[in-house]
Amino acid sequence: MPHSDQTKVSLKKNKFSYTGSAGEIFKIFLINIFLSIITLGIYSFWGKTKMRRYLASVLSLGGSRLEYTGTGREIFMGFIKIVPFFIVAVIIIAFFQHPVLIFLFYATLGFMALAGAYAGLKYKASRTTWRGIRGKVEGSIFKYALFRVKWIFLRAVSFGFLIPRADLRTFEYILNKSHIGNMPFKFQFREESLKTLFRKHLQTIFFSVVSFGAMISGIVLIDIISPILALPIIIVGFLGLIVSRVPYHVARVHEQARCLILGSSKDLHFRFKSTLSTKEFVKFQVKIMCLIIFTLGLGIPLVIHQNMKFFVEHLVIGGDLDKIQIKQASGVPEGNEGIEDIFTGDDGLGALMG
Amino acid sequence: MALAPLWDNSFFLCVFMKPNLFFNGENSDIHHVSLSVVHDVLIIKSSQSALTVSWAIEDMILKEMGNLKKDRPFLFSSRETPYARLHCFDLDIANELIGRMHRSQKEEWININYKVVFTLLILATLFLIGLFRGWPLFAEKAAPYLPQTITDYLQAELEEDILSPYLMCEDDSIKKHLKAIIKDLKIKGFEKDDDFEIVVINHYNKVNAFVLPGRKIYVYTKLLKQANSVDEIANVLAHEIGHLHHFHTNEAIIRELGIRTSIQLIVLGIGGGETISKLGALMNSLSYSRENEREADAFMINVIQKSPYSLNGAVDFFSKHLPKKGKNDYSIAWAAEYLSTHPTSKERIEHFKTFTIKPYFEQDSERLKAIKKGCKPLPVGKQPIERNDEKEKQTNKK
Repeated sequence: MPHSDQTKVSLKKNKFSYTGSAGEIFKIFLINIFLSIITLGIYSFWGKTKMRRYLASVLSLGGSRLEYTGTGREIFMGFIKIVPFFIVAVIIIAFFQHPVLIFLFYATLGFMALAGAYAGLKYKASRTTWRGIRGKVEGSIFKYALFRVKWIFLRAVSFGFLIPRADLRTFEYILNKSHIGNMPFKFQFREESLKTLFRKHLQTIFFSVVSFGAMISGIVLIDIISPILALPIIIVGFLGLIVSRVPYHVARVHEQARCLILGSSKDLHFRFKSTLSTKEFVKFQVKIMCLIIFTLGLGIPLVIHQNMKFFVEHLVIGGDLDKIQIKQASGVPEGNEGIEDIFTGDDGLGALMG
Repeated sequence: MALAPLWDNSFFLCVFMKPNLFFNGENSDIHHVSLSVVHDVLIIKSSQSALTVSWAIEDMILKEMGNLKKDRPFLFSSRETPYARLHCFDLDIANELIGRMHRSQKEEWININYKVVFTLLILATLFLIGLFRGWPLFAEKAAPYLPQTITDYLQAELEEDILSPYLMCEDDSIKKHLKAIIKDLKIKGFEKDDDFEIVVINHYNKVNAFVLPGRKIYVYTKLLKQANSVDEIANVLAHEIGHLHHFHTNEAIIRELGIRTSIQLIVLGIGGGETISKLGALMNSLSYSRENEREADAFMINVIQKSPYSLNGAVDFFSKHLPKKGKNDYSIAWAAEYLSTHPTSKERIEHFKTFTIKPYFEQDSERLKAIKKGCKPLPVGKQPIERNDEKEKQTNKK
């Protein structure tokens, strides 16, 4: 087994290659919208698949392209399966307005949303292949939902202090059940990573409180001093509030990549590294925000394109891909992603990486 | 015997063209392969190992790989080995294979979408026909059977959601007069005071009256104020009871609920929870069909003709709602009326005039004056503090 500590091991560096074009994504996006409208939205399931296929096909690793083998029919059938349960639940709630029923309904809805997210991940992994080998995420979707409920509860009762631990544990839960073919991912939980994240989390809390204070002071000062002087304070406070979470987010990505290993052999394994910096992340987020706001949503294809590029640029995979020996995943591919499609519904990078 | 040239095309192809890659679907090994087509079979031969695979072209599938570009390989698979992949960079072979393939084997955009879109268009059309033609028919048939619990629930929703911004009339004398008029109509099920309830809403901008399944009749004060005779009020009340008699409100609820929930579920991919949870708002925008209005009118005519009141009341009422000639918005008003779900006022008046019309029963009476005088709003403590403009707008729409 590879060591979890930071022993310097010289590994060949690899990166994903992205050859997609914004124009092509835009074309698929527009066609999807048009066909979805004329088919009363039913085409959206096929449209989503179309986009995923394209995005997979323009990503390659070690000279081999990824392939998405899912179909619109599978997602549509998943949707059809879920709808009757949903309608029955809504009718029961609507006509028997009992508080206990309403609570149960929303609790079930939340639980199913968590389970659905995992189901979607399992589906997407099983439908994505590299060199003919498909991905695999094991485990029960309901056990995952219970696991998430536990950590949501712990996060709440600890007033947010357990957020870093919850984030790492969730990532650990998913990755330790993930494979490419027969090659498992291994997430090695490190107390050091937790400490780093906790420090960043405390910084986030501190900056959030300061920014929030500045914003409130600005609002109070409108009447005391002039609005012209108070406005910059409010804006700075508001921006501070948004940006305060970024260093934590970046650190989390770094630590998640650092703890991750693909393959269990000491001789042949792969490590991951994120080259993301806080400055780059802020710049990227501003760019994305501008793209969405100033194009009134029409820039979404461009956002997908930029997302893919950004992801590819900042992920380094250490290991010799030429020597990689993976066998096909055992068992049959997972079913469709019905529940996930109702509650989440994502595109772009999320579609590939879950 | 002529010697083969040393620098032939194949040499250049070998040097500058990327090799074709083959993945057997069992492991991740890369096989650099050469391809040849013999009859209807593609022979895939590895240049490094003894691997040789034969794929019948009729079993091969061209996988979709986005937009085909010069640096992109054609990706083929075979039905026999679904995870095996051939990354073909050899354009000649690829074109030959594609040329021999059946249309259904090419997972290209245009093929897939023609089939899918055509099927979906048919489904969508059937869905629309079912929703806007079939569902209203079902609603009509199912309306009398809407359970009491549901009608009670709708009643409560409406009162809480829609009527809360308005001031209810506290004056019992108006209600008593209106109840007396209804009792004069001698409608089965509306003979006693306890059989139904009258709610007078203090609203001075809108002429309106409506009913709900729970046998509550709502009348706006403006409608009462502008009445020229008790006959006019009697006609309006008879018409509204006609809607109740034919279960039109139930029908409209089932129809609207089904249509909205289906569209929300299918188009937006989200639950109809919002629609159902905001039934009050839904009720606000309910409308009867032209057929419903005609049925209610027929009921009204039948009841009025048997009662002491005159159909002149109905003629008067609808005459006030004729678009006024000479106004700038004349044509727009006519168009709006024509497009409305109700029959036009002109049509209705002409229809009423085909019947024998009795003289007015009660004009300029003390009772009419008492009804028209308006009413005191609720005591301060019972009034809603703020009027909800949004809700008011919605009610105005109705």
